[in-house]
Amino acid sequence: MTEPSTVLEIKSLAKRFGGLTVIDGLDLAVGGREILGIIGPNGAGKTTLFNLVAGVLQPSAGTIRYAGREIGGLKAWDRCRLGIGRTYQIPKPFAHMTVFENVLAAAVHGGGLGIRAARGRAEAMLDLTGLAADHGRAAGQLTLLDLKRLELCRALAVGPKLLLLDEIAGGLTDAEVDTLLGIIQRVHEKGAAIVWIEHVIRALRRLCHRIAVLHDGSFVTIGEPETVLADARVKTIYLGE
Amino acid sequence: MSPNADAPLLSIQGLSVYYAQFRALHGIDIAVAPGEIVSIIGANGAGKSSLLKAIVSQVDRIEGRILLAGEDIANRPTPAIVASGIALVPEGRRLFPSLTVEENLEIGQQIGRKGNGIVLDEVFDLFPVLRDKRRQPAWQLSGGQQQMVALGRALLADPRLLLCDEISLGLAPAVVNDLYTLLLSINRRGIGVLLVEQDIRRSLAIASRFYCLLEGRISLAGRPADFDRDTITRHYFGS
Repeated sequence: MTEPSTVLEIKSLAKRFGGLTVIDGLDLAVGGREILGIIGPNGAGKTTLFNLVAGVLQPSAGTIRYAGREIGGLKAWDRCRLGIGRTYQIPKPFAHMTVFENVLAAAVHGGGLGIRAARGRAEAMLDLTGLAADHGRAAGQLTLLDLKRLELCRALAVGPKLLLLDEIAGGLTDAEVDTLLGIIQRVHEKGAAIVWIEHVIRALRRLCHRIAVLHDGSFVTIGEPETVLADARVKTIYLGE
Repeated sequence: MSPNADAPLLSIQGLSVYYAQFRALHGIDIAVAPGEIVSIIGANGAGKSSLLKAIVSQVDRIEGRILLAGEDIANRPTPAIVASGIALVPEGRRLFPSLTVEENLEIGQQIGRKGNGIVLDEVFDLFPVLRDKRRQPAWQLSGGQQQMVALGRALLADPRLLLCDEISLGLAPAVVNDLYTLLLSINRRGIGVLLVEQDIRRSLAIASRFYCLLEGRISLAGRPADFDRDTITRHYFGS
C-alpha cells in the first residue's frame, strides 16, 4: 500500500452541544508529512476539533477521513491503534507509576503492542524525547518540562502517523521551547504528520508548514505562517494590537 | 494585634520548603510592598510554584517565617490565609467542573476577605465571554476560558496580595495583553502581586522588582532595569 498524500481529510464537520455550535461546517486537509499549526481565540473550538478527530466526541454532521478511511464511527481507542496520537493541555500521567511504566502502558493499550515490542518502543521514545535518564522516576515528581516530554512520549508510544499536539509548549521557557522544538522536529523526520494547537506563536513559526486560524468553529484563513500572521483579520480576532 | 503600617505587605524570611526528604527551597528571603508587582523567574523545577504554594500552606513542611503585614501566617490553615487576604491563581485552573461559572466565581467571594474589592460585574466586564456563559458548568468551557474563571475567582476573594502561577497559560495573545493591563489596574488599587510567569520578557516588563530562583536559591534579585539580558540569563541558568 502506498503512503496516501493526505493523512487527514475533514469535510463539513459540525459539533453542537445542545444549542451551542462549537464546530460549524469545517473543512481541512492535512498532508502526510505536514506540520499544521492551529491558532484561534479561547473558545474557538480548537480542542473540540481534536476531540472529534481523536474520537472523544462524535460529530453532529460531516465526515472525517484518516489515511483514506472514514473513521467517524470508530471509538477513540480504535483510532489510536490506527495511528492517531494526541497530547492534552494539562498532562495527567499515572502519578505513582514510573515514567517508563506510563509510556509502556501507552504502547500496550494505545499502540496495541505485545509486551516485548512495547518495551522496545517505550525505550526508544524515552530516548527520543530526552527522558531516558528519568526512566525510573515517579511521574508525579516531574517538572513541567518533563511532564510535557512524558505527555509527548505517551502519544508517540502508540506509533502515530498523525500526531495531535494541544498546547504542548505552554508554560515552558524560551530555552525549553527550543528543546521541545528539536524533539518535535525529530518526530516529524520519522514520518508523522503533526497538527499542533498552540498559543506560543514563536514555536509554530519555526516548524509549521501552514497555520490555520480557527474562529467561531471554522477556519478564517489557512496558509503560510508569515502570510497568516500578517493578516489583518488574524490580528483583530487573535493577536491583538 | 495591630499590623505594622510600615511593614512590607509580604515578608518571607529564611523559607525552606520540603517534600518528604526533598528540599525544594533553601532558606530564601522575599518581600513585596503594598501595591508592588514582584516577579519570580527561574527555570522549571527552580522552586517557583513551591514558593507560592508555601505561602498558602499547600506544601508538606516549611521552615522560616511568612509575614503578611507583619503578622506571621506560616503554617496557618489555608482557609485562614485566604480570609486574611492572600489569593492564589493556581497552575492547572483547579475549578469545580460541575458547578456553573458563576458558582465557581462566588466561591472566591465566600472564602475571601470581606472588603470592598472587585465585584462580579467587574470580572464579567474583564472577560465578557464569562458573562455569556455564567450559567454553564465549568467543564463545558474551553481551557482558556477556565483559566479566566480561575483568575476571576482569585480576584473576587478581594486579596491584598495576589499570587499568580502562570496566569496567561492557554490564553490567546490578545487576551494576555488585556490581562496584563488588568494586573496593572489591580495593582493601582494597592493590591500586591507576586507573579510567576515563564514569559520572562513580559514578566520583567511589568514588575518593579524581581527575584531569580535557581535550584531553590535566589541567584539574582533587584529591579529589572538594573541588569542586562545576559546577566539575567546567566543567573537563570546558573552558567
